[in-house]
Amino acid sequence: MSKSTNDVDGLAVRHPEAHFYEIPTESRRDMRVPARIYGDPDLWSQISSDRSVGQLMNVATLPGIVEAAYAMPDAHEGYGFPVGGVAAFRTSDGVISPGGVGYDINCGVRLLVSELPARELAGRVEPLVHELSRAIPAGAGRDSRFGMSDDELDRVFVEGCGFLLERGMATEHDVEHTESRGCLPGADPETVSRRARDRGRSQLGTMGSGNHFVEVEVVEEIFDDDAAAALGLEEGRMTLLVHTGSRGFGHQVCTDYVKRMDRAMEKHGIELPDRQLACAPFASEAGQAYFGAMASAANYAWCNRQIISHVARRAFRSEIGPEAELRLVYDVAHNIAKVEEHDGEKVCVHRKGATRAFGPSHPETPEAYRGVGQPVFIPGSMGTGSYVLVGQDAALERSFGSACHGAGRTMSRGQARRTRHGRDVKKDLEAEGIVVRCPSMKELAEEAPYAYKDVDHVVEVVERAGLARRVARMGVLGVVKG
Amino acid sequence: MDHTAETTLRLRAPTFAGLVREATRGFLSLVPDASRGALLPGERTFEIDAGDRTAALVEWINEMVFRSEAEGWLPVEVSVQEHEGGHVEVRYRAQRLLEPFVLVKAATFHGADIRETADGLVVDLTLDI
Repeated sequence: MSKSTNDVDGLAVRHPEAHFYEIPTESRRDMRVPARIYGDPDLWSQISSDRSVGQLMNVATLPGIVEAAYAMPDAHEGYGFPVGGVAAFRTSDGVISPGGVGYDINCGVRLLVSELPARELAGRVEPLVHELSRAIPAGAGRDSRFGMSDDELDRVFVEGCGFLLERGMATEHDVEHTESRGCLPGADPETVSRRARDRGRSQLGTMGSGNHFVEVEVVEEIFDDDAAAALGLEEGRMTLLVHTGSRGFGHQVCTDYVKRMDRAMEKHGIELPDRQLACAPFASEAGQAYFGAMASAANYAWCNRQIISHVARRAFRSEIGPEAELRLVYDVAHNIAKVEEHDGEKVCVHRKGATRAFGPSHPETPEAYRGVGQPVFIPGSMGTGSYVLVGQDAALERSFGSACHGAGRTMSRGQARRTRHGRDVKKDLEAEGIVVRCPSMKELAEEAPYAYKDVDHVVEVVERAGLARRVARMGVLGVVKG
Repeated sequence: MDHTAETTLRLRAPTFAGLVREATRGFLSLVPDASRGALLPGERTFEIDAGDRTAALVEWINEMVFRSEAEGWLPVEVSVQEHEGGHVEVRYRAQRLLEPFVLVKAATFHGADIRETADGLVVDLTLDI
């Protein structure tokens, strides 16, 4: 049974800074490093009300972990790792864990911007959102129009967005403005099961269900003029925010390797407080195989968001005209494991429900954004808008260069469904002038704004904690829900 | 049962074989119109060598997740035999679904631990949806 607990009363919780809590290493005999949580008293109260803190302490027990196990201000209970968790493990003697990446490998967000002022959309938002909902298969399992052969899938796994560049579905600008240029090195199709291929074959270019969405938004407020100018954001400009991941493919990769690693624990002499943390030494055969499959799924997810952008551009051109051309601001993952160098040491950084947030001087920050910081996107709940931030150099010391990924749920799906019917949620959103398309009223109720934390508050804490800096806030004009 | 963003099945049965049948029934209860599809000919077998009962149960649900999403059918009329060494054999008929079932993405080990009670076995199985 998991040692996770929702009772933090007995713990010696330190609160050394206004936006930072720490559970010291000595709190539990098996912890190797402290557990550190970013949040103010309000968020701490929410985070400590479920099993997130216990889960973070479990992460702190894993072999080869360095510095600390971190939780972002939007953290909530997950499987094994909490959602909003960040942890780094030495590649030499540390582990890699599928549970530290999550089932939806490289779930992430991309933002596109048009120079067209949103006010010129008047009366055309509804047909535009309708066309987007028609063009982008949404809802659980809706099939893609871009089915792939095995050979093509292999190229997606290995080349990522580079493959789409060749196919005319991406531009060089798109690739340059995607984290890791839309291609995580180390992908190995041989490590991907037949089952994963079968689940992923027909899902490229589809949004999926749950909290995934495509939103037409408008820049409502600018907090940092210089950074906004560098990102091409101006008050009143129309934007498109895409949130999805690697669909059934990523889920099957995670399932396959949780099973494989669960069975290899004894061989590697690893004892875990929670089976869902199943892991293997990064350098072992199982560890390298998972990394190869996980990188394949990450590249699949970047291609998925790129194909959706390609289709969305066509929809914008057909409904609005060539003046509505969409330029990619950035695409960033929030469920991924990457090999990075921190303090001169190679580590495998797991970010699960956490966004990389490299600062202005980091060499992996895209050239166009050097001096500004890598863009970070934090969507709020449906209809409440989203934030654009940029990473801070200090985040490297504070969280391995990471920030949060969303508002974070406060209510279960069932509780949200019981609170209001999807039909009423839709009515509320429409009353605010937001056009909504969703294949399921049940899903709409589950994703209602009241089921999430207050994104304004979460973002404020991220900024005060020095992880990322606010650039702009966007309001919602229309939403296509998965 | 509700979890923050998932569904948890609480399964109770006097025996492990009963738990596998309950897991099948619980999964089917999530599938709309599960009983309306045609039965496919023949009996099928799924062999599990998971090392322990909890892992075997998780593997069985993941088998149903894959079959229902990728192949559009689900097991019915399930019978289970547990052999020495933890080997589990599940025999069943396959029932075609009206459309692929994709709501459940995976079964997890989250909080999954089969417990013995005075009334038999109990386990909570969390499904990622």
